[in-house]
Amino acid sequence: MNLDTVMTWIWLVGIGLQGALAAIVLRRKVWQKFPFFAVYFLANLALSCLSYLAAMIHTYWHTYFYLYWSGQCVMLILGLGVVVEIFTHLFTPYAALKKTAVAIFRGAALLLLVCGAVVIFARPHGEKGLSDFFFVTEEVVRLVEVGLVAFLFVSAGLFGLHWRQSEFGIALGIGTYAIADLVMVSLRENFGVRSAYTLNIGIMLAFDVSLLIWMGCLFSPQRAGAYGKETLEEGQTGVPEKGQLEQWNKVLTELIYQ
Amino acid sequence: MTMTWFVIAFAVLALGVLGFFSWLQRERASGQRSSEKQAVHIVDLDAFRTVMDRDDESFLREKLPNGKFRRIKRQRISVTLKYVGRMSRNLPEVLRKARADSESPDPEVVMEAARTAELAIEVRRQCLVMYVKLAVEFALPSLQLTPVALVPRYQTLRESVNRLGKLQAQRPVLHGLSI
Repeated sequence: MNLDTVMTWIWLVGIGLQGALAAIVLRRKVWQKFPFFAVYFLANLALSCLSYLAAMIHTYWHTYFYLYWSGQCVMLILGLGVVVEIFTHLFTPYAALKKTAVAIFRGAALLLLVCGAVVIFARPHGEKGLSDFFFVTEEVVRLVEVGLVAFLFVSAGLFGLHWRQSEFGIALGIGTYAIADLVMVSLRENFGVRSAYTLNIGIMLAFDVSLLIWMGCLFSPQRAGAYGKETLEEGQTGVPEKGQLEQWNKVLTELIYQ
Repeated sequence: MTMTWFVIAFAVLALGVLGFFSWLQRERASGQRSSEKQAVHIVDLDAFRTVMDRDDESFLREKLPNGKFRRIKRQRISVTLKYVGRMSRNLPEVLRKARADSESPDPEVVMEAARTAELAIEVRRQCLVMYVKLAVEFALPSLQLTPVALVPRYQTLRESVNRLGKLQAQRPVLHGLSI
């Protein structure tokens, strides 16, 4: 089986998975709660179908090029929108934290943009052409996206915020895909067009993994509030280990009798 | 090439962050499901206040030789850290309940839940500050940094959680939470 066939199969499996997820998105009315994610996902499905058709009917190279990159531009913007949407969902119930979180989130975004600018200027300037410009732009946007998703996970972890299953799954899926895409695009810059096929397969597989994550989180029913499930061991007090307290008491007793 | 490795290292770090927090999320979820694992622990605030007492520390500083004082202060800090850790670990559970309550049809419950969430966030923030201060004092035991007002805040949070529990008691399906 040559690489062309492998790629076509992965492409078709991806479209099939997206079709299944689209059914879940429509059935669960996901757009009511996550409009950006719904638009991002459905636009991705449309773009995948169009790209596949364009490739199958052997359209002009220019048509495919502009179709692919205009679609990618929209996807990258929508991807960032999904991250902001998850951030809003996560922090909205905590009014006290939201103001600080928004300020830190903006700061992090600005810092990541600076990092992106460094990436652009540190690259060798021998690259020419529209395609290379798009690849560098994609790398920078993915860098910002990955940074913001990581920031989201770290800040939620630090403040012990409660993720709902759907929010967590969407963030994890988008983060996984963005990380894989960032690595592949960066490698492409160094290994050139020769490795493009293999790297594209990697990107497509990463997207399929994200689709499975999204399907898992949207398809499985949301756990009930788990209210009333907590049990508390009666008489349990938050004391340190006995040995430490005994040691502490011993030292104090010695001091008192000195 | 250096920039590529920098970007890849960044991506690997981000993957590590995602992996770690996914694991944490799974652990919390399984903790909630399992009746053996306790999601919430009561914190003995009086004992915590005693361990934190600065007068005790001054007394020890006066009576003990430097080396011994440093050793004892570090032990004291490690005990304090356990208390702070326990308080900190209770907060995600409080936040989870507060978030669930914020969707209650009863406006009184919603208001109390919002107040509880705000207090929990404040206590969590103070716990983070306390971790840093304790780490500095552990490294330099002769230092006495301004204490964080963690005990009164935690006490207020506990009262708020209890009020929320009482409001819930009117609905037999729900149980209160003790921290």
